[in-house]
Amino acid sequence: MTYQEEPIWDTYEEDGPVRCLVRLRGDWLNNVGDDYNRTPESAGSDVWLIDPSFDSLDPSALGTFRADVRADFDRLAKAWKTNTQFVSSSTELILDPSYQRIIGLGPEVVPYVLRDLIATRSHWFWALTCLVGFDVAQGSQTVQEAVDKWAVWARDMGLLVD
Amino acid sequence: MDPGWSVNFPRLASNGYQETSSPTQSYNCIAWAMGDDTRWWWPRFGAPNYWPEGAPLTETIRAFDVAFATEGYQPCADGRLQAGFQKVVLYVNEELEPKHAARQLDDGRWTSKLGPQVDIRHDTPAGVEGPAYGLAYRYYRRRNEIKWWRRALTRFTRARQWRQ
Repeated sequence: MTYQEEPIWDTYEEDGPVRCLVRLRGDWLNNVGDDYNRTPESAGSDVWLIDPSFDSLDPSALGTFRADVRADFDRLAKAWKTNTQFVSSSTELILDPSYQRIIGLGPEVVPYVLRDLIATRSHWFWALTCLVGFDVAQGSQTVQEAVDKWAVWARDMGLLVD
Repeated sequence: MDPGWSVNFPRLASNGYQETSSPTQSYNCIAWAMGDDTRWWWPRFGAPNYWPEGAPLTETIRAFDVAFATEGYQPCADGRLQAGFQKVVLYVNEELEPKHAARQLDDGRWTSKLGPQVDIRHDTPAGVEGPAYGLAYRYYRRRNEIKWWRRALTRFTRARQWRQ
């Protein structure tokens, strides 16, 4: 699984410690610490990079769910589904204010979005792509195929909630 | 009728309609009008949106003209039932942005997929006009090839039987 063909290593440089998320031999690591001096050449082919601008996607942070995020998601998702119950336009679906506010809840909402996506196949694809930073379902031809790809990713990442 | 329905489709109840499926997110109205119940057709980049190759990725009537043409549909005058042709209709809002499409059935009635909701059969294109989809704006037709070939085959078979 390659999320980024050409790593943009330079953009990792910030004032403080290097912020990035890498997948190293199957394990997710955040703030690679000692490894921050790695270069794309030394990283090796077993390292996959994710857009560093999405450093907020921290799997450990995703484990600390706030109860109000869940409530906010449930309320906003219900409003979105009501507002767009007859909408076929993908653009209109994602421009709904409730949908936008769900994206605004940040990465903590990802597990709840994934749960709803898997349960209802609602069109959370754009929101998830925004929240996560890449499109897990890229290239999917059908809604079911896209849902399946996100479901596999969610399971691999340990992001499925009851 | 659910209040949301009567607000969005004020003419539906008086025009007559029946629900013909359960709700599903697997396909939308454009897909359904094109006879596809596996994909979500919309001129937008990103999975799982599907849009025919070569059709512009813009929410314009022109883009839908081209997309429908890939399925053999060409603009036509109206939605009257016409032997040998299948028809679809495109709905647009006041800004002429496409919002919905419906397909004519063999009996002259129409079938629509309402967003992520159900499929319905409605008596006239006007049935789903209203705040949600705007007005039925442009009709398209394509030769109903299967029926055309079936009729030709029937004629051929009868002629052969008559000769024997």
